[in-house]
Amino acid sequence: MFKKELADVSKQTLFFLAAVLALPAALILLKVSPEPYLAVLMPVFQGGLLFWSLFLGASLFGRERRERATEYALTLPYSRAGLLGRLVGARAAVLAALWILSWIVYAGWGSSYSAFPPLALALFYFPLFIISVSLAPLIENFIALCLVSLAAWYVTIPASYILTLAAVRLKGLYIPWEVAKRIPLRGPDTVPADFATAFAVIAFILPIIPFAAALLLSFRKFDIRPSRAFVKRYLTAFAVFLVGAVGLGFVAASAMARTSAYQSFYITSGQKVVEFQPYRVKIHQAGEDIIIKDSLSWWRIQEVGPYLYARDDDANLIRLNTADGTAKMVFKAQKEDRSLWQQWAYRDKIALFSRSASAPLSLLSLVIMDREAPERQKPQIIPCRHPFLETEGRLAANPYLFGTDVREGQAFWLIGFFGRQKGPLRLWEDGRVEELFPGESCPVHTVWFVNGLLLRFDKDSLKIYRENGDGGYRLVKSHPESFSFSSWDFLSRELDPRPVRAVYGKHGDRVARLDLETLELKDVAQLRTAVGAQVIAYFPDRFYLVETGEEGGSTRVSAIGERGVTLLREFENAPLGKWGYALDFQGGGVILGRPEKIEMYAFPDLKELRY
Amino acid sequence: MSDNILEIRNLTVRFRKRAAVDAVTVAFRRGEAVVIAGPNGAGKSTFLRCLAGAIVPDRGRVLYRQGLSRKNIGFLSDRLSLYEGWTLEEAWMFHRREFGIAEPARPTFQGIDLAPRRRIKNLSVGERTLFHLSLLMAQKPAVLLIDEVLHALDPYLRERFLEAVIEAMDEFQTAVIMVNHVFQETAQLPERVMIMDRGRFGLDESREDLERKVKKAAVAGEWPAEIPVLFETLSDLRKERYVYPFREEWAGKSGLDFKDVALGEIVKAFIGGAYVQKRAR
Repeated sequence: MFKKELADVSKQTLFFLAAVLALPAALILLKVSPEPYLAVLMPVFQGGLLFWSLFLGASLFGRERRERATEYALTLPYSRAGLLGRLVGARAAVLAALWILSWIVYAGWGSSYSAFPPLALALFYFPLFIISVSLAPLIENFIALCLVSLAAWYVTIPASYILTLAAVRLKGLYIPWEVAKRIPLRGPDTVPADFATAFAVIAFILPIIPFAAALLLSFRKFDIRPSRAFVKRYLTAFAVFLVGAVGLGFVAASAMARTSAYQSFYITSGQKVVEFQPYRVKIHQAGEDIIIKDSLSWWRIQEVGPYLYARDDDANLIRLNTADGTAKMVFKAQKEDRSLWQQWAYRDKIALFSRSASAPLSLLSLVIMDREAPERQKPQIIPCRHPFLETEGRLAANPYLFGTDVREGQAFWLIGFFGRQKGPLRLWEDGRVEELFPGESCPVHTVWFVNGLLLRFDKDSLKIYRENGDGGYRLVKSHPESFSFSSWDFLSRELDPRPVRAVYGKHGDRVARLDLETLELKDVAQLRTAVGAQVIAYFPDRFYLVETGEEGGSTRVSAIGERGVTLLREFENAPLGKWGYALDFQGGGVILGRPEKIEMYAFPDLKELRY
Repeated sequence: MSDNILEIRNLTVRFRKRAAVDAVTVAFRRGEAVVIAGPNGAGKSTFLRCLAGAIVPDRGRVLYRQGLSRKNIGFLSDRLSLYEGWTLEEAWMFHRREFGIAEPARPTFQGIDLAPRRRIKNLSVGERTLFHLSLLMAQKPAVLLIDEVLHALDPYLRERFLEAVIEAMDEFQTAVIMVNHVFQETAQLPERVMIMDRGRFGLDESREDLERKVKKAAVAGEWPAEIPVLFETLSDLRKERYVYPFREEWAGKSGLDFKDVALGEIVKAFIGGAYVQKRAR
């Protein structure tokens, strides 16, 4: 039976693929669609896959019904489970093969033209198949079955989404792509991206549980008659598992929302706790708490003195005074700016990137404002153009600032790029743009600008550059060894180039000091364990060592400085890396997220902070 | 040790609120030939489909004995259900693989030559019945379930069909359970006769006993009250009454001329009786 089904389904699938390959060519030849071929093929292929998953599921008994062979199939020497396994297994195998093919096509040729990456496609593709398979024994009419399956899929997934959303909302959080918060999707918001992805996965997977379970539990009663026993059993199992899936989804979303909640808090240098809730911000402090009715993003906060600079839902830059709770809009963002959420302070300025609505989207501008101007001002705008920023009419990479200084009366800014193996660039006040290391890759997190030196790290070397007389950078020292640290503040760093004596990093199984005068590396401490240890750097001169033990073990946080490594606090039962545990470094302290609660500790000695 | 190969316990199948098979408990022995008859809608085909696995009972169980498995049960339905789009060759290969049949060639019937490349949908009903039977014969069935297919066969094909069934009974000790109302050529085949009405077996007798217990007599004058009438013909010209269960002492005492009745007529009388009862209700 499996062999027959596999042969049948494979044959049908080959016809489907031939049609998918031919259709774009026909559309191009008839001038219905523009070239290139791949640009037409990929949406046709991905849309076709969804149709095909529906077809394969709905045709579970298609041949038996068409050829009046249902009775014969049911009298074959298999149990009902065996029969179902053979029918579904063959289809699932073809479906999986098609999905792998879609992955290969996507990775090889079509990523630029695809509506979905393969993993996202799978979230639509497999549930649609399972729902249509599940309904196939119930509905004999093929067209009715397809329509009901589509409707079930169309209704249950948004319902499931709303459910997970409700669970998250009950925790006082929200997800970046909430429907209520306007489309296009944008972030970041309260729940971090990986959790938000997990919520989406839950929303897509939950609906298939009752469909799959109802089929599995009722199919042993399936026979040739319009059986009430089968339908009753199916609906009963469906209802029970629907309730179970709802409960499970609710609990999972709720638990995940709770563990991610630590990221909606910010500890200021003055040890106030700022809590970012949907549509309001609460400043916990001694005495009465302050509530500001504004929806601000907790992420990428820039703290300077009493002010917090953060973005609201429209990516406008808001200056929040934590002393009196007043909020002022400093910069009104364009619609196109919603993916640019960072800002950087230096001297008395605050800088951010913008895309002009009137110019092509590829036009990137640096926007500079006086940081403490009492009213919104007209900012200084410096266009930033470079060939590698422009690809197919879209901005190819998101920029970040990692340094600024003044040469011969003219300011410059150093720009790195997320997700790009290119850059960095130097943008001058007059609009000139230079590529600092032409032809060389320079990924994010791997460059620091301090004391006029440019430090570049990769997994097996540390290179130090100093400015030339001609404005370029020349290599002055190279250490062919691993030297690394995590600088989590690179998205909203205070860039003032104040002098720094040394930089610390992880150097194999030791902590090493890079002397910025001699440029020599010297080990200053032995790590307890190289695995699970990392150096956290706060630009330009604060360094911490985090060492976490095995599962169920403790985590130690130490300060690194001229006096070596000094233990600040040991957190019992805090196995970082295990689900539900996280340590977040912030301006005024650290937040330890545990599955069941959130704890806050303030610098300099990590004393527990209660609010 | 029991010779039963199939035991059915408290079997119930419902179509909505109506019980098509109503708490039936019965057993079948290896090698016996059973005919099941009854009025339309009595539940005969449903009962057979339950034994074949095409219908899952709402209650009760079908127990396989003496190593019987689904592979040894052949079911020839009045629907002649097969994949109609296949050629005979494809259908044979599939059936052979699924039922684990070792013989490479499909059994054939004398004088019936079916080209392997013909499609099932292009066969006549008779050819299709014989082809399906040939698939079942290849299984060397321990139980053969046949649901009202004989009436669709011409006398020649019917003879070939019965030859094959009898051969299976001889060779494999096959228990043949057939729903049938055609007894012209098959009267000598069944050893056991079961009459089903409203989902229950109202009669379950060996053929010999039944033939001994059912007699008929022409109606002339008054009918003795103590002699039970199973059914009487409705013709005004000649009224006949079928008696069941018959006792020998009535023959001399009543003055009636009791005659033997052929199996086909017996079955007809029982079915007629069922309809009379139904009307009376």
